[in-house]
Amino acid sequence: MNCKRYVYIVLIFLILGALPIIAQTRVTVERDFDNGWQLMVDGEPLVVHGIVWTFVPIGENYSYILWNQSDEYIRTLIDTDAELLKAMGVNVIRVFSDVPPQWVQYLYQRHGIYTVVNDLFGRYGMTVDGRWLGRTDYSDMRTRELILDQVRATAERYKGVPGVLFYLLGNENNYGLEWDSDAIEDLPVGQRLEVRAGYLYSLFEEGVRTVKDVDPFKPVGIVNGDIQYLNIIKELVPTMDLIGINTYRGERAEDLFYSSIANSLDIPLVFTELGADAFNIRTGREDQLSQAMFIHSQWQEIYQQSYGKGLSQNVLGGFVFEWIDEWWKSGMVEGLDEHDMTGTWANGAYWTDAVQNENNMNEEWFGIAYQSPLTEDGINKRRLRAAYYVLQQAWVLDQYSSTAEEVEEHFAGIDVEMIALRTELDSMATELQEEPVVSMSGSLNILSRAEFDNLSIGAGFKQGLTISNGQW
Amino acid sequence: MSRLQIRKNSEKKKVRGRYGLIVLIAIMLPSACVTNYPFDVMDPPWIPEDGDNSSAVEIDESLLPDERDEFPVFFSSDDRPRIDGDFSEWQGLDGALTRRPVYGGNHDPSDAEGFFVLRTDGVRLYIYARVSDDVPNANSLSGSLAWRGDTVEVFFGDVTARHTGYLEGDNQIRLVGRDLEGPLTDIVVNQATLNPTAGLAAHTVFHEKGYEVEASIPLNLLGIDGLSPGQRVRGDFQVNDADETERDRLVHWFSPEDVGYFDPSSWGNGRVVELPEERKENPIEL
Repeated sequence: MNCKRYVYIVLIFLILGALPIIAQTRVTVERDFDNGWQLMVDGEPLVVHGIVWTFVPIGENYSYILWNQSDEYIRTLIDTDAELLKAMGVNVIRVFSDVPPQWVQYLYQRHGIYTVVNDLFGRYGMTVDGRWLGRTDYSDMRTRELILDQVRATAERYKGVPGVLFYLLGNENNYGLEWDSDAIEDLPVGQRLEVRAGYLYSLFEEGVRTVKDVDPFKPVGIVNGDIQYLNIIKELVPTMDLIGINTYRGERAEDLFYSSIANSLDIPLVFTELGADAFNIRTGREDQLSQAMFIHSQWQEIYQQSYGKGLSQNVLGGFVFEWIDEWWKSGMVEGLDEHDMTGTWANGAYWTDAVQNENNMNEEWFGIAYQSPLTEDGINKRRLRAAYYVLQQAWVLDQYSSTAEEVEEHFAGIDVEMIALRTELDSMATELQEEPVVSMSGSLNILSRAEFDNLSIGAGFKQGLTISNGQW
Repeated sequence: MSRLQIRKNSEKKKVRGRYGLIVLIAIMLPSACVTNYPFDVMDPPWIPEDGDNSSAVEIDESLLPDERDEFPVFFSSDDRPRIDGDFSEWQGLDGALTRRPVYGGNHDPSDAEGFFVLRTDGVRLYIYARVSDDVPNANSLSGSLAWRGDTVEVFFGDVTARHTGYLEGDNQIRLVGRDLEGPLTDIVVNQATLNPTAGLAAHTVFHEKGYEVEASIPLNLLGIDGLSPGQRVRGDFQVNDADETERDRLVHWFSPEDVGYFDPSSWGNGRVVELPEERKENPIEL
């Protein structure tokens, strides 16, 4: 009798001890030989319809720490954004700072939105034994040790936290291989970049193993700048589960992009950044249509290349860059209250405003939501751009189970121009409400648009009205 | 100032000097305990290997061009090349040879070595490139992204004063061969693909072991008023080579770094010279 009791007690302890493990969400990437790759959460497929969640308010910059604000403010901000994101179809966010575990859990349990934990892996410099080093030297043993310590600490912090979908290491660190040393200088010039990359990717492999060692229930990947160094990644990072790619290739990445990854790496990919800015340097004004058009095309291609469509079938989804405009990006520490219209880099693939000898990419205008200077509950109001509604319509279609024909039909049925026209008019109406007196040029523009399409437009906006002193 | 004052001042200086020395030692001592860099460096986990059949060689850097070297731009107002895939007009002219590996391992004469010749009639810039390539591919990427595939690029400008950002007259010219079987070639200038216009033409011919391309671009599309003999110019020449996936080799004529697309100070020197009557042998056979 006593013996049985002991057995029961031991069993109860064993079961109780195993509960946290049993309760862990198991996320995997799985390949069906015929149809390609899927992300699975507890055995159920989940596509990555993600957003790079940005929240820096107007007037602040990169040093702003949301998590230092009051819990009430954080909750209000999360609720404000998560409601909009959820309505759009977002199911996972990527953030450039660590979201404290309690808020990862809150996002998931309150709003059903997962979070990707992203350790930046020394991307923007690091402190080594009390000394700040702007250029991380991945060949230095001490630096490597500290990075791995940090990675282990991150994994331990998030292990078992409800809402963590997977882990990512770095953020296009391959673009920052700039350290110099005697060892590097001794190499032939043509080998230096690749040798530096070798140090980085070998450390990535150690980082991936470290995370898996702490949390074996979630996939681990890296964030690469485009598909540079695929041959080195193939050799040096064999245990990662997926690769994150930041890329800005305009409307399409093209088949070669996907097939290069498929042929080099036996893992799926996630776009960790893709998108378009919403400012046109040719017209000198916001251009919701172009942004929406590029994003529509990018996601059509993602659907075409995903599970079961007969092409590369290796893309799990992506994170649209980004949620709201970040007004600090251009000046970094100055002009934080100004929405800068200066192009910061050139990319001809965004052909709608590509101009020879001019930067056409406006770093402060990548949001699929504009943030207004007006606030509500201390939060800058979000004004949704056309891209938001395009994605909302696009993501309704199941990315994995749909056929290639259904994808064609679905995306062809999204009237990007109509959506853009409507949201631009809504935006102008909102501006009018916020700022009653408008310039004549803006008003005339509204009328010409309205006459052009004879639309039924929202937000209390009316057609055919005349203008009197800036009032409708 | 009295002698006494001078002596007092002198003593004050000595005292200050002693204090200074003590402060300096106090500062230096702790810093001597801090880890010194450079660091404990591990052996490289990755050394690029040249393929089994590669003829790659480590280039003697002393043979590469420096600031004293100039690439020629041959001037003739009456003898102009026709852009038709017949490259005979380029025969025997001097040019720039890309042998400086920037990325992708050692220089390989049989893969991504380009020979570039420039000509002008004062109104147009004419470009010729002959490139060795063990796996020549047609390029289907859009113009501004086409550097990821097989392409040649000419950096060219008429602003000779040192500057580190593009000015009017600075150009990144990319020639993109679109069809292995045909001449279709896009001309991309400063990230924008140029639309057909008078005087604008390009023609690519692919071979088994490389490709040749020639192009004509009106100088006004390059922001250049004109070119005349004796005029100094700036430029560099680049071969982008992609064999299996996207660009895996990048070779320059002048700069060891991949910065020419935003920093003209990395370019080398050139000069407009009269078109010679006698021609030489060509350095690359495809």
